[in-house]
Parts: sequence; C-alpha cells; structure tokens
Amino acid sequence: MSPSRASTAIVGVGHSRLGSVPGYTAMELLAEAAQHAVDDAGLNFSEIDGLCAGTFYHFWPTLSVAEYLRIQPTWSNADMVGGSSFMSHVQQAALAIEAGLCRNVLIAYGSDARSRRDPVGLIELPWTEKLAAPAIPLTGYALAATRHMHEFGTTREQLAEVAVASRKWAKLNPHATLKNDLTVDQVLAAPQIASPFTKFDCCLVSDGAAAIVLSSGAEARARARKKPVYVLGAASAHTHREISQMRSLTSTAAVESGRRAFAAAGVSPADVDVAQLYDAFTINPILFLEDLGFCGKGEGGAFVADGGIAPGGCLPVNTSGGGLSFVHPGAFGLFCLAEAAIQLRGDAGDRQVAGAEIAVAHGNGGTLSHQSTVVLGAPGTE
Amino acid sequence: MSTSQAIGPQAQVVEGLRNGNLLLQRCRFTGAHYFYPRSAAAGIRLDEWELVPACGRGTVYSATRIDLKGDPSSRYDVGLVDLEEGPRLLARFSSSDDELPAPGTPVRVRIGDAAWATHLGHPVPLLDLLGGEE
Repeated sequence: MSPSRASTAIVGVGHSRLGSVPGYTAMELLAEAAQHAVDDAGLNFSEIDGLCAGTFYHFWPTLSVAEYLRIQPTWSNADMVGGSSFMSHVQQAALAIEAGLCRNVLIAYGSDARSRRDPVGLIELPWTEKLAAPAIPLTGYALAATRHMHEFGTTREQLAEVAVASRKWAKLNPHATLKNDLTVDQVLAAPQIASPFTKFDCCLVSDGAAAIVLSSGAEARARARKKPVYVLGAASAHTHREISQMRSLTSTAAVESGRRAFAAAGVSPADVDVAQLYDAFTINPILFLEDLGFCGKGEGGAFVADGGIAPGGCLPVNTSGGGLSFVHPGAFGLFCLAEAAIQLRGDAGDRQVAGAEIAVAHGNGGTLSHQSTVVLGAPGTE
Repeated sequence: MSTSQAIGPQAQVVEGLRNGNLLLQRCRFTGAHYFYPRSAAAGIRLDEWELVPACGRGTVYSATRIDLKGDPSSRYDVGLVDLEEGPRLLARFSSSDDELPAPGTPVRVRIGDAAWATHLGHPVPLLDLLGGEE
C-alpha cells in the first residue's frame, strides 16, 4: 500500500563529501551525511526516533548505524533490495509515521566503494550465474540494452544521448564528479566493454553518502526550517533476483510501481515537472521513461534523442547529473530522492527546473529486479 | 515432513553437469519446465516434480560481448538463451571468435569444461553456434 497522500514530508536533505574520499569508512561518510540532513531539518539526533538503513557493508545495518549515531529508534527498517532500497524506505517509513510508530525517520546510506575497490554485497553471485561467471551487474544491463535495440530499433546513438544529457546536467551541479564535455561521438568512439555499452554508458564508482529526514506533514508545517517536500505516493514491485529469471528484459516492475504510486498521488506522468530515474546504465532511464508512462513502450529511445532529457529538453531527467556523471557510491537511489527534494524546494541553483511542483524519484535495485517509485510534491500540492 | 530426494535440486543439477546433462525441472502435473530447479515454489509443489535432461536446443534471447580489457584473449560472449522446453539459461558461448550472435540465433547447449570455470570443479553449460561441427 502507499502511505496516505501528503501525510509525510521530506524535511531534511544532506550528503557527505563525494567522489574520492580516501581514508574514510562507509559509516564515517554516512554519519557526515546524516548530520547535514538532521541539521537541515532543524532537528537534533536525539529527536530521530526512526531509522532506515541498508548498506552493502553491514549484516545488521540499522543496528550498526543506530549504534554509531548513538540513537535508539523506536522503529527501524533495514530493507535491502539494492539501489531502490531508499524509495522502499520512504514508503515504509511514511506508513510507520502514519501508524504512530515514530515521528522523525532518518534514511541514510554511505559507501567507500571507490577507495575500497570492493563492492562486497554487489558481487554476490547466485549459484546458477556462477555457471557463466558474467561481469555483474554490467552483463545483465548490457543484455537488456541488446534486447531493447533488437525489439524496438533503439539505436546506439540514443543510448549515448542519455550519457550526454547527464553530463550537461552535471556541469550545472557544483558537487558533480564529471563535468568535462561529452558528445555522442565520444561515447560511440570509446571501446565497447560490454556490447553495446562503452564506459560512458556505465555509472561511476564513488565514495559518498546521502541522508534524508522524513517527518509527518503536520510536524513539517509546524517546525521545518525548509519547505516541506510532501510524499504524495509511493509503491514498489519486484520481478526477479538474477537476470535469467526476468521474463521480458524490456519491461520492468516499474510498470507496476509507477502505476500504483501515480494512482496514490492522484497525478499522471504528464503532471511531472522533473524526474530522477536511477541511471546505473544508459538503458535504465529509457526503460523507466517507458514503464512509468512518460512515453509508450519502445519509444524511450526517441524520447531521449535530440536532448529530450537534457537541460532545455521536454522533460528534465536526472538533473543532478545522475549516477553517470554526478556520483554513484554503490547505490544511487537516495541521491535521486535528495535531488527531487532539492528541486521542489527551489534550491537547485543553476540546474533548478523553474516552477517545479511535482517530482518523481524512481529507484532500481539488483539487475532491473526491484523497482520503487516515489511521487513528491512541493508546498501547495498537498 | 519427508522427501524422496536424497540430495537437493541444486546438488542434483551439479551431478547432472558431471554426467554431461543440463537438468531442467518438470512439474509432474502440468509438464511445465523450470530452470533453475526449486525444492518448492509457486506452481512447483514439494516432491511433485522431476529433473529431466534438456534437449539442448535453444534460441538466443539476448547476448553481450564482454571485453573489459580491450584484449581478445580475455574477451567472452554471454547469452541468454530460451531453451526449447521453455526456461531461459544464462551461459557463455564456447567461443567469441565470430561476430556476437544476434537475438533469434539458434544455438546448442553443450556441457563441457572451460578454463574460466575450473574453480567450480565440474563442467558448465556452454553455447555453440549451429553448423560446422554439427
């Protein structure tokens, strides 16, 4: 189920130093982000009575994080479904707040994937995949891209447009990792590391952490320092763990999560001003634009062509620069939520989408396995 | 609380590979095939299934050429193959010397040893293109 429309709001957003932060552990970066988010909310750690955490590094993430932050939550949730865990956290935290289990939930994630060069949990291979020993998760996404091109005529150039658009947005984000110019020709000229992908089709491997604070809508209106960003709808769905068990590689569970999230929010894709669509690889936003209903099935390639999702395009997508150019510390979902909130507050600086009132933060986990959609609204939409 | 199986389906699949077979799971009632085999699942009741050798014929659903180092000696092709019985299999092609097979290409699954899989201690399914040695 989705939480009731606008019953909760994001009241705090923060991130740690990003990119390459050698000498710091995942937990140290997570705490840095958490401090910024709690400060941003105008709260103290002592007022955080709910916690969601799902890291790749901890067997009991919420126990480790709560102990480290010296908090004692009355409700916590360590749901781990990959990069979309954080959208799932929002959905469940909102329901917990509505149920009276807690008042202020911290959702936090941190990783030292770049410095450690060890993605730990990401490389758990199901036993049947050991029979092929593919490079993961790269192989699964490359197979999805191959199939999308085969079924719908999606072109290599259209995939490249996703990378180029993210780079153009990243150039407007002072915190982005990659800000040098990137052209479609450069993407195409690079060697293919997993056909049809070149390195430019693949997300960064970063150090970094993000955190948000979720409170009840009433609490947000009463005491938040910044504009509350309301949770209008949230829903999740999943179809498989390993790529061989995904029925169609060109249609994801985002069809289901999106349908339910939009229904709960009472809005349609046409109402969305800005979309954060988890871009681990360039095929991802194309699939999610289709599955969430921004365009028809098979039309995602045409949608992103000619700068369709770049600054000045028909739909601003991944305005932070995304996992492809901004940052990708093992999982990017929480950064999608943070960027959506920053846009709806009007705090996005040079990359601000003018008048943005409705945003979608869509997360992807596993190998297109788990999909979770959160529809957010600026004050006035509740 | 009993089962007629001495070892679980995963261990039986490994045993099958040692004997040169890719074992699929077949429901005794519907005849539907599954891979990988589960001890019990939706549509697969505990003990109401059997493992049967795949015929080995399949069609490429999707494929990718992995070349992380830009070096043909470490290059390999991975395919998702729709087996004739229905299930889909992820496996490596036995060779990446030719052009990457496109979706729709017919292939044969062969159980064989591979240098990259020696640590597993048993043979693995490999994908061969038809023609030539057939």
